[in-house]
Amino acid sequence: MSRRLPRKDVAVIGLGWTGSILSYELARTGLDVVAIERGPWRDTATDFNIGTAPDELRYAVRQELFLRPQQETQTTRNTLSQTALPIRKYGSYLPGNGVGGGGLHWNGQTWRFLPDDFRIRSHTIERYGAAFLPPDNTIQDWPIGYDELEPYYDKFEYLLGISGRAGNIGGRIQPGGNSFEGPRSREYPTPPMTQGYAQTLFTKAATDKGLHPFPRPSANLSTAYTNSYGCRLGPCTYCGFCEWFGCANYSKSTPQTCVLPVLVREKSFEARTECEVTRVNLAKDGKTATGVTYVDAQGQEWEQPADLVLICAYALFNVRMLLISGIGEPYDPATNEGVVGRNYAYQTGSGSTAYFEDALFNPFAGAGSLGVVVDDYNSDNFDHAKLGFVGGASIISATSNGRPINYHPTPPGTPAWGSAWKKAVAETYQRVTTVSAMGSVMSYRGNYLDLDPTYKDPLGRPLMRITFDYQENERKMANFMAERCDEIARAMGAKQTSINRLAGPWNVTRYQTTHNTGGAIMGNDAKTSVLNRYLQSWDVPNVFVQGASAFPQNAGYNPTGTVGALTYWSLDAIKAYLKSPGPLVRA
Amino acid sequence: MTAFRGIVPGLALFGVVVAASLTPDNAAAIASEEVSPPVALPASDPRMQTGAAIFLDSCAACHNRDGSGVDGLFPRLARNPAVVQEDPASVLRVIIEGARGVATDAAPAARTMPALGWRLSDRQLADVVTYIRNSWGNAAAPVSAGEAAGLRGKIAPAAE
Repeated sequence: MSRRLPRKDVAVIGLGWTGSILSYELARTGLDVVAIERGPWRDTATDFNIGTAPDELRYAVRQELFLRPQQETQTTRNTLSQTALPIRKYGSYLPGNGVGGGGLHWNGQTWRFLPDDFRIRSHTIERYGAAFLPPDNTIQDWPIGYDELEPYYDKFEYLLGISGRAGNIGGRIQPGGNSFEGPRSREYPTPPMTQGYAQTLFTKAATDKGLHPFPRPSANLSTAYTNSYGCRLGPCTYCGFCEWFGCANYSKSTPQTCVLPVLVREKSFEARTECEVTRVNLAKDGKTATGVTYVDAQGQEWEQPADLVLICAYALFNVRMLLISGIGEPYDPATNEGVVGRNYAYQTGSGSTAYFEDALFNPFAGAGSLGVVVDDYNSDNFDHAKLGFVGGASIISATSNGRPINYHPTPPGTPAWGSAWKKAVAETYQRVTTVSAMGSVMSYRGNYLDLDPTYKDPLGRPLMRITFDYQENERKMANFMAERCDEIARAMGAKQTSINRLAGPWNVTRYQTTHNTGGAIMGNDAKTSVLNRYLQSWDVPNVFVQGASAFPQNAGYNPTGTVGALTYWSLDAIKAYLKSPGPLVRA
Repeated sequence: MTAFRGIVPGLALFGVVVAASLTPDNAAAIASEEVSPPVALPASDPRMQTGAAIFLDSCAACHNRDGSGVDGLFPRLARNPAVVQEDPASVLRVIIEGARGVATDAAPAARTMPALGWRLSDRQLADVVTYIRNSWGNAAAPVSAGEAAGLRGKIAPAAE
């Protein structure tokens, strides 16, 4: 039996980046805020003691910070005609578990999407004609433009202390930065990281080719920094234990280092960890959320009434929460009607692995965001007319880590085990680097999320089903990028390269990227979006849904910078809503 | 190891207020102007070599290899009076059980040094403290494994 708790002003589902920022900003105005988080509390000194934090077996191999399939998994299939089966070991993507969420285990690459990305449908039609859009696409313009979002990108970057070099301040192109980026109001909070040898070679090769390299914007900070909430962070040591790990020395921007210290000082804030929200409750009219129901670690079910519900879980779980709670019409790919689950997208990865004769790359001295990038082939920064695809990729020379268990690249043709393998590992470790492309994924009628008809979680709720495959457009794009990467790798002086193409159907077993987007997208039309431009549910106005689930399609970058900007953008709208509750946009 | 008599509060170390002990012996030393300043142990001393390796492994990520720390975040160890005081109890205690900063409105983050006593033997504790007390311009008497064991024994319940 569910036990009913006293009412709160705000119930927040999930305590990662979006949940912690909104909890703090609303609690500091005096509102009673409760954040309900499925996983455990995690803190730096207790959970990421320097003596245990870089434990590759524990964190990278056994994936300690991640959700267990037993808690929740998804069923997946490539096409509508297949029967989806559950993921029994997370592989292609790794959802975080616990306070901090994905913001705890991330690498820290913190991007702004390009101005064209926000109006890619209109822009593509204007430049190339409507026929240029790929078959069965559901590509949509964002309901917000770069210029509107700029102040919020700035706010998020100054919360995190991002290390980078501006390429465009107020319309003036800056040397050494990304000349393709939209205008910024000011420089990055901290200077770029110190790059490695691979990045030096990449910078020279790319410049010689007429490309425009710049340092990757990084949440592994180059210097100590006191953020906009007064939290002080330390300089990165380039230890190379960022992605999938917690940072031991406060040098990676995370909810733990940037927000939680001030959040826990707010008297009107309460966190309930190891409590899983099972649904958002609706009033009889179906148009008002009355709060949430959750199950605690002892299995007791509680009803938490609240005036405002903020869904701040990982993108995939936001969508599932909406589907299970009956908020918004589920998407039906047969009719192309309904909204919840539509425009699910992901990210492409392709590139070139470069083997050198006598380099010393020192891969162990790396960081999750260390790298140099060219954006000459991203978004619509280049002429697509003869290429036959929409979208693009950031092309990157990165040195993220050289960890002992998982990092042992060998040239093609090397045996997979035995003395020849060992010899190749030893010879190759210092002499290999990559040039990689992180590419956009457009939205399509057949790529969507819904509830699985067969499989259920331990609480009896249907699992979410992912129907996804890379389409021809993405394959063309990713493989075009692989060739560009290979050209740069050869120009860097590699004696041998191997091209990594996007081949075969999407497969859940191999790690690719935890950049799942869409499914609860924002838009200007309630018939084709779940949320209005303020991330407010069209159907239930006292529900706001944060995160990358709002992206109408994915761009050629990591999503977190845009997720953070949207959070601050939505916060202003939530404050307006609180003064005068109701829909902020008329449907 | 002396007992905690004549406790003088107020020495800021690792962002927390710790107690420093003033014993009849060192009180007398402070009073005397004839005591010559201590001379740092040479880097070649085996205790210094072991201590340097431990420091690099467990401490340098925050406090830096030159003991300079990070302003406003990780305390400077070089020429830090709390490090070179005659009684090494404060430094030993902070390493064994960690230390938590105090959150204020101006500096709300209250960063925490993790406990490292669980991964260092008494000998290792003594050597790393000896190294810290005799590097980067610091000079103070070496610390014995017995002293480390003595302090560990006193605070063991808290360090668990």
